[in-house]
Amino acid sequence: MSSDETIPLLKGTLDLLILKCLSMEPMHGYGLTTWLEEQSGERVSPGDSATYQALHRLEADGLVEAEWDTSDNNRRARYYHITPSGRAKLTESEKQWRDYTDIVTRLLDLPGLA
Amino acid sequence: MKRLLRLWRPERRRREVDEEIERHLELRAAELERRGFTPEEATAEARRRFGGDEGIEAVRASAARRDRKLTLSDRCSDLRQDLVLALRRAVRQPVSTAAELLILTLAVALLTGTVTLVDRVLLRPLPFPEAERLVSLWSVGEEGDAFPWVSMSNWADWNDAAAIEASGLFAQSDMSVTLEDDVPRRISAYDVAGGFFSALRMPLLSGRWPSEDEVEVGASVALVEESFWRSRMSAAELPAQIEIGDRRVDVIGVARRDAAYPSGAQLWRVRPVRRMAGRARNSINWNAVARLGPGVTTGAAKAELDGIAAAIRESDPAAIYSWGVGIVPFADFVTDDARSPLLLLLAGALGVLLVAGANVAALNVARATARVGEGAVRRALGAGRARLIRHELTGHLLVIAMAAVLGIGIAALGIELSVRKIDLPLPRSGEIGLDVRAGLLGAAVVGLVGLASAMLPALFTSNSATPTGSRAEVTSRRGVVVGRALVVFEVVLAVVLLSAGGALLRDYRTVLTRDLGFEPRGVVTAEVALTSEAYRDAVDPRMEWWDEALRRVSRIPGVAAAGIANRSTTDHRPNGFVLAEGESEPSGGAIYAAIGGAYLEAMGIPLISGRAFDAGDGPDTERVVLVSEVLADRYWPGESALGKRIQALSMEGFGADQAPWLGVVGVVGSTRAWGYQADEIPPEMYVLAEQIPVWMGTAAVVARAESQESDILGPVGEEVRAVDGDLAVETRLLTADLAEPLAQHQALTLLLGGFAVIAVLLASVGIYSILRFQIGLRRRELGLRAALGASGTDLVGMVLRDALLLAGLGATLGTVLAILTGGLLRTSLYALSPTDPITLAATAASLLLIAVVAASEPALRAARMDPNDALRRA
Repeated sequence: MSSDETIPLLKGTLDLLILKCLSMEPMHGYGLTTWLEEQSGERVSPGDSATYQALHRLEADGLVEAEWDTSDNNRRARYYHITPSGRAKLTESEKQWRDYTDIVTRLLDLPGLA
Repeated sequence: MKRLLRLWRPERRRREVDEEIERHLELRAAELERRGFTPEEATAEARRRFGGDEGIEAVRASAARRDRKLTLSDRCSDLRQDLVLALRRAVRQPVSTAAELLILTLAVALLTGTVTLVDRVLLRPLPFPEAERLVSLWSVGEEGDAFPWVSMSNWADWNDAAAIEASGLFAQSDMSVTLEDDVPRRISAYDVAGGFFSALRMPLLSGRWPSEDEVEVGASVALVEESFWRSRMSAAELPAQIEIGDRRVDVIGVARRDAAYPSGAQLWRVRPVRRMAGRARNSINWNAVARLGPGVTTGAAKAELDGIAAAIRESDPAAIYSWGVGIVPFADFVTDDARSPLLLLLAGALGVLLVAGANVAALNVARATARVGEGAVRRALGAGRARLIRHELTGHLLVIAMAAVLGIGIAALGIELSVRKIDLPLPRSGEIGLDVRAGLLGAAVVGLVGLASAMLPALFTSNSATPTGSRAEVTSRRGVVVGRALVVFEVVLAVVLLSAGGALLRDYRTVLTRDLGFEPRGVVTAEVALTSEAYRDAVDPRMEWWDEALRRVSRIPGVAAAGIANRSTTDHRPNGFVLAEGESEPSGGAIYAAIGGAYLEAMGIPLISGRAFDAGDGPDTERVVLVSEVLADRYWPGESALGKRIQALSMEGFGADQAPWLGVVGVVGSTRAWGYQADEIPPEMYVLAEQIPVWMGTAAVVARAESQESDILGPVGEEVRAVDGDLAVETRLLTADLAEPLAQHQALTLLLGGFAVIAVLLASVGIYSILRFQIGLRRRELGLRAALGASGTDLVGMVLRDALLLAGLGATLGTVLAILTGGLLRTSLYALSPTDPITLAATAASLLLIAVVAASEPALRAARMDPNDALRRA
């Protein structure tokens, strides 16, 4: 597997990553996509459209909220921030994710045909 | 802010999504340019990364989904907030919330109940196919006066009319019926003749109507009613044999409970059709029902029937009830008696509803004015006026919804109970059951009234723009004025309802204290139909039977006097024509009674002149008769009736040449023979049973108790039954018998009286709460007065005067309204005028008294007020 190749995101992971990102600071949609690209060394890219759809989904569930604000270059932008129930959801999903990968990793580490 | 944005138009929201996408594409393109893309390439690459048009559309769709979901949850959270506030307020003000709930529940229950009754009894078509073609046929006398009764012979001629598809006769005739258990019982039964069933097309549960042949000859067949068939005949297979008297009769059909007519009938026995001429045409003792042919108008039917009647009169000059034929829609005939009481009840229920609405409104105005501040604060904090009104209404809607559920439940229980447990004195009572539509209508009307009464204070609270003192006070004063007006309105309606209930009650009592001309208290009757084979044809055994019964009853300890009479009940008394000696044609009728033993003493009918029957009168001596004072005055005014002679036409033979002459030997007191409710005191004649035993087929032993009638009720029944165990004996108290025709009157009195009591209670609660609330508002003024030297008595007087002012105004207006609407009551009153001054005065007086009672607590509260405290807190 080449290290340049983008990894397709597992189902539900995008929501988790967005919540994680917004838990650090409010961000607009474009900032969010570039953050994901930069942090993963461009190896994780869910696609711009999918990111916005995920944001709207989270907004509808009350996990994030959005407001129009002025961005750094004095243009209007829609800033998303995480809500308290979004934080709770993040904690819960994060734990699930770690448990899940732990178990999968442990199972894969068992001796057998490699 | 976010919420407001969301409430904006959808296009606006759509523009926002597009702007967001556009911003994204711009930022992406700018970055790509920094990495060396040309502007055109950068723009194209940014769009590609976004997934092109497809990706943009997908984001628009997800935004729209989000907006729909958020708007919905916004509304839900508003509702949740309203409900929470409403519940919080309900908990904070449990008494007034409970009062509102109770009042509205009551209104729903009353309205549902009465609407159900009116709908089932008056509005619904009769339970027969094409019931609009059914009519009742009436006899018409020379003066054009119509009677609901017809003679079989006249009807037989009418029946040939082309306009009539089918028609039949029916007459009540209680019978002694013996079923499988061999115990004879008296049941409520009807004789029917002609095409009674086929005219009605009475729906049957099983079996069949009688055939034409069976109808013509009067075969021994009968039909029974569903519940009788199930409970008394254990749902026996048809045809089933029963005994009526001692004649075997085949039960060939079972009528459905909800389609049994007349209401209460348990059995219909088919009688033969007999055509007779001459005065027999004047025995009008049947009711007639006819089904007009399809498309035949009543006018056309009447024209044809009038022609037949004219022909009858021409060929038979003695026919005095053949001056035409009256045609009345059968539904009107069936429900006639119930129409005005039911409409009265409905009016009463609507009255209670209005009082309830006014009461809830007054309570709410008081509550809301007390909360003027709260509304103003919430408004100042940005709650819109619509939002405030909606919030206010949510609480009331909650209460109304609960009231609707509870009210319909109570109405259902009440109706179930009154149908199953009580014999409703109403026609079509078998068809009555809870109607969901009536319930919904009741709930909807109460809901509207409740909402309207809730709107009033909602307008108050949301109206006040500033929460500060003076404006709040002005609004409060306005609230007080509206509250007082509502209370006056309540008193007006309460007076109208109470005067109606009072008039009915006073009428009922007046009727019951009417002098009957005899003393029903202490009298027990035991009625028997001598229908056994042994008694039917032979005449002598009947008198032997009655003599034996009389001997046995007279021996019972506690029996003061005992006699016999051909009928004991006040209704169904035969009324026959009387021909006085010297007249050529009978000029009127008289109640005809065949009596024996100490009947006059047992009944308490006084002898005015001459003598009563004595041992010298017997089967073989000259025929004798006692006449009532009214009869004597009619035929021999100013002279002594003694020694005069009369003939009892139609009772003892139809022609003057057939009926024997009866010599008057005594004059007795007149009685109200048709019962308490009848205004007329009819002429009466008494013949000696031994001289005309043919009339003693169905008759009664009448016994007077020395003290309590209940002491002898059982023994009389046992002794009479002991004469011949095979006969059904029905023992009754004469007082109960006389009260029976008043049952509907009594029920109406109770119900309307109940409505009136509710209205009065509500009005007094209204007076109480508005006064108490006002005292709260006037604390400052009252404190000042007290500080300036007004005594407690002064303050009490002030509050009481205020209460009397409200009640007095209401009572005056109410009395005027009661007089104006009194006409509605007229048909339901027997003895009194609807504008009976005593009732009206008593009603107004009691309302004033109630106002004083309701005001006493607030008055004392005012008197106890500490001036310092009041001034400080105000």
